[in-house]
Amino acid sequence: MEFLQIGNDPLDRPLELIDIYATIIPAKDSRLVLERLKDSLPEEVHELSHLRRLNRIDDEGEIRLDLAICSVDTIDRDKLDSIIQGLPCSKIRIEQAPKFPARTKEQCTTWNTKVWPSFWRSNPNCLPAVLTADEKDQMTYYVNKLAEQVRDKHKIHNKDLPIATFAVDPDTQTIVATDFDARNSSGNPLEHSVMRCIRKVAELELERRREPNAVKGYLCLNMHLYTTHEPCSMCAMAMVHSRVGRLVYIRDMPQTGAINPLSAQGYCIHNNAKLNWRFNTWKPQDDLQIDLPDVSDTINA
Amino acid sequence: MNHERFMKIAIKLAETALQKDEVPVGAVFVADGEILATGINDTNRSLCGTRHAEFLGIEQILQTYTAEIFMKVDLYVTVEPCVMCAAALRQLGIRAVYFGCANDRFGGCGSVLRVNADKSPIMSPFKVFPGLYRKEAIMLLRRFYIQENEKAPTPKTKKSRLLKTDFVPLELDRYVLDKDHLNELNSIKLTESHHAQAT
Repeated sequence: MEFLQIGNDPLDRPLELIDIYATIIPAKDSRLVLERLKDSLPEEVHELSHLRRLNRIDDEGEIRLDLAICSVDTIDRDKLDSIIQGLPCSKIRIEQAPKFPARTKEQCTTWNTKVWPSFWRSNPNCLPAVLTADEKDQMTYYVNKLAEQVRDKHKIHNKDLPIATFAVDPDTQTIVATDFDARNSSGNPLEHSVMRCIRKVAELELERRREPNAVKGYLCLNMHLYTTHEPCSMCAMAMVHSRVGRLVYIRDMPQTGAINPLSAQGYCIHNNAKLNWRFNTWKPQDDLQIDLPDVSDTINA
Repeated sequence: MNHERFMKIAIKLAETALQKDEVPVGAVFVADGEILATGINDTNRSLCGTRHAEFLGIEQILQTYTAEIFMKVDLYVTVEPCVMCAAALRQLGIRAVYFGCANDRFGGCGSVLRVNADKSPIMSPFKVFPGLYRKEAIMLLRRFYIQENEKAPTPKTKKSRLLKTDFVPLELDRYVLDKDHLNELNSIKLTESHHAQAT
């Protein structure tokens, strides 16, 4: 099974456009024009270093270049006209360009056929981080096992929502605690599987500490949590409070999730610079291949 | 005058938490002018980072009532609910939250995130009223951290054991959404001048 890392940057961010001024110049005059622009234009107000500033126009005769001058937000048209007066520029046009760099090479290629071309530079923030083959095997094993447990449980007990969580100790490779959603049977809408699982880890720790010379554990420090559905803000923050080391979830919850930057309010609680703890988060690349009983979009998982 | 009465009880509860070596936070849940439940922080005893005062109170209420009750429940809590608790309270549909001091590191009602009021296609927002007995709430937290430092195996510098008594003003616009909300906050009258001086 392949996994995607969930960061703060959406991997499939939609194409957002921005208006730019463009003009066609003879290639031989490009130095003159660029120098004049550099001296006269105010500072660009957007970050547009991903755009291809000069694009060669393939036609007969003199080589010409299509030049992106700057964003429309940077300068008024009148002022720009007076700057380029006397320069060998064609009439200024307004073109649309991608506001942000593309996330993948494929995305960049597609965008370049539609709007002002941009460069593809691999973006370190969205390159998949590396999982070892062993880690991938373990994650695949736990994901499949979790899905199986939730399916089995749902067959015999469908009063509660088919959402489940494992807490795994990555050092010993054991499941420390398993729990299921119980909001319906308990009458407490906050009895989500993540909250219950974290509580169970604490109960086990309390019990263990009754033994003499017990090695003390601390909350869920560095444990890996596996859960069927993208956690809500409450559960995501409970994981921050509990010092979880890694989260693996199977299904996105676009209306209620607090992890994926594209879900709900885009909180990315697992990797939020304003909070005092972060954990890396993964989901299976083809999560729809994993069979899970239905959970409504409006559920806070 | 009831705001004052309930917040004073929350402060008393936070005192109890402090005596039990818990982070001093107290919570009082009120419906129709009656106290439904109270809670104090229980994270250290339970070894569970999610056992905040709010959760203990909520569980107590749900032993007697169904979750629909929260439509008419107000919470008085000494410290701004954290992101987890704010999300929980919103999922329950609580009516309003009155709190003492801001929670700069974890606050979910404006300090770090605004989980109580950000747009959601599913849940209604709830309003918060900050600054009631703020100085008392802050002093309780400061006393707790000094107590912690004194117990540390290698006590820190003397400076960390000094109880500070200065207060920076509350940044109201983090919590107050509009003019009506501000008027509502300002109309809360406490006999002692202990709430945020909102202007």
